[in-house]
Amino acid sequence: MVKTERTSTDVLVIRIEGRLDAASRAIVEPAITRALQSVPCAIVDLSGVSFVGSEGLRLFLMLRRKQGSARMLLCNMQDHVREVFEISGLLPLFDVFTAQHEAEHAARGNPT
Amino acid sequence: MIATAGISSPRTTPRDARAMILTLTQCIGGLGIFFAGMYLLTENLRLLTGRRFREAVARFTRSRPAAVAWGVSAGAVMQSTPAVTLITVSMLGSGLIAVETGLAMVLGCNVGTSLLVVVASLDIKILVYLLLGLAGLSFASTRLAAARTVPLIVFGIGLVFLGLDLLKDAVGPIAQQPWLRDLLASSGSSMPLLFLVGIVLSVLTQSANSIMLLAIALADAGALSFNQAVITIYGANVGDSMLTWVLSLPLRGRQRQVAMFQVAFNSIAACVMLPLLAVELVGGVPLVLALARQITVDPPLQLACLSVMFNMGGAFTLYPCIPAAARLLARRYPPPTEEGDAAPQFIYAEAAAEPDSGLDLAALEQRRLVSLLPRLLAIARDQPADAPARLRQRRESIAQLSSAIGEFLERLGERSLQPSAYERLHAASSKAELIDGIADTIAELASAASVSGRHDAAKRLSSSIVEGIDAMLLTAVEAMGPDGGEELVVLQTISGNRSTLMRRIREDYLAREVGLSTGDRRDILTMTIASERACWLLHRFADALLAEARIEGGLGALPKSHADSIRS
Repeated sequence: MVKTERTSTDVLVIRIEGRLDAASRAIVEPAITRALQSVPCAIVDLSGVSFVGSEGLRLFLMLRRKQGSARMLLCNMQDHVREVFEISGLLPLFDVFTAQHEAEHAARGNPT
Repeated sequence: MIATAGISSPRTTPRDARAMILTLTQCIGGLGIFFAGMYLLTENLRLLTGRRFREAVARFTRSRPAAVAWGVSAGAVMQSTPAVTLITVSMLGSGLIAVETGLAMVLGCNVGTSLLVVVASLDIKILVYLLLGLAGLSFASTRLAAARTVPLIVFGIGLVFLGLDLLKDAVGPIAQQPWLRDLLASSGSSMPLLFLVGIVLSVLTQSANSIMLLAIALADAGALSFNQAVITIYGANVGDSMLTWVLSLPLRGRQRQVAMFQVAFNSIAACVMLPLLAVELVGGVPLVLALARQITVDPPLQLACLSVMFNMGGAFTLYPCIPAAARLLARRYPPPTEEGDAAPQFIYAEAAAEPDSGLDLAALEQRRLVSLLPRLLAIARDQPADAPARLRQRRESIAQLSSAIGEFLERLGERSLQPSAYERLHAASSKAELIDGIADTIAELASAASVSGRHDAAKRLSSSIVEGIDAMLLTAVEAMGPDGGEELVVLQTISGNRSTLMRRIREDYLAREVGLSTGDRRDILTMTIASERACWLLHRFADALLAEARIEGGLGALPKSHADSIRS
């Protein structure tokens, strides 16, 4: 469901797989919260997310509130996941990148 | 009686035929006038049964005998068990009365409605014409234009009795017809058959009273014997229950409990009164027929009294069983969760005495109301087989709670308030209007999104819209909470104008996806337009919450920059 990979001392990539809804929120939330507390920047790779529900969207809003000084970047959204983010109006609230390397580039302080 | 047809001769002349047509059309006209009168009566009485009326009824019916008495009066005036049941159910829904009180009201209503037969059996032509004349003449006065409800009710009552009178007069000549006499003779003295005829005709006409009056008129004309008329009247009463049972099939919870009590009422009355009648007819023991003869010597009036006695038999039998019946019905037809949702949890009538805390409670109730809206979308998400029925029930419970909040705010508005409380009340009323608009839009969206068996593309869009709008609603609920400042800022940011986005999405789907059916295309259009409207309304709602926060000075939970901008 959640896999983490440290690409540098400052950046942690979190890969989420499957459905992101009320049921999976209990697993995903602590993992990302821990990551945001341990590194200055977390990249959330959503390429494996097949469905995002309202509870999943609310999770990102909650993480955004709790992230403090850490950065949270989202990448590799599938079209239908992006569509949900767009319709909910959440898309402009996050730094969203089409590919992981773009997010990593931005994480290193080079905005694309 | 109108003597239009002395047509018992075997040869039918054109004059006889014309008289027969006139009589039959009089029957049809009488029925039409009766139903039009009932419509006028019920619809206009409904206008008088607002909050104050229902509160007064709730105060009056605190004891069971008082509830029965109210039921008798309401039944006698409204002449419609469904109308009284509707008021009872709405009072149950808003928590004004307990189920036991509601059952006592329905019990009394049955006796009340049966009084119509007694009144219609009397010669009240003069009174009827007077009622129609006075109520009708009042329509000519422009000064009375603003208060037409009462004259319309009186006119309705007049029409009901005029219709029944026309019907009664027409039955006499028809009863003389050889074909009818042959038909009635062919049934012999089969009492079970006439009982069944009473049931069937009552269900078909949806008016037990008109069938009872028909039976009385046929007996008066000699086409039916007295005993045959009695059994037909009993059958018509049971038919009323059958109709209620059929109509109550889609109902659930308390509505079903009240309806099933109504079904049980006539069935139990039949179980009591039929054996009594049998004992009296077969054994010659003087019972109900003898009592009716003691009351009056006029046979039509005796029959009308027997109809009232039938209902009183049911009422006396069931009255002591009301608490047990309430428990049994609650077990058999438990209230669905939506019904519990419809009852207010924070506001109550007495809370309006203290406007400031009353407004606090109203705010809590409004938050609870908004928290029910995502449940409409949950139905669209799960797509159960009975999605339309569930959506309708859910929508009804939301509308009931919204109406209770509206009435509470109205009651607060009747108090003498401080200027700040007026401002808060105004803000709460604005919020209430917006919540109603959002609820309507979400219901429309959920209805379009809950259609199953769609094209994959339509399914995908439906899911995206449901989840996206649901997330906004959940944010709105959080924004209404005690520490909702940041969520309120988020709500204001994420809601707003979506016309460009939704147009693009709509056009993309419609242009790109081949194989979309006309239904899919229509639903895509409905869903995108409804979600666009939902976003706009939620943005206005966020503005209303911010305005309210400004009035209350409750800006502490907001981010400093935002709080400063609001203060300025």
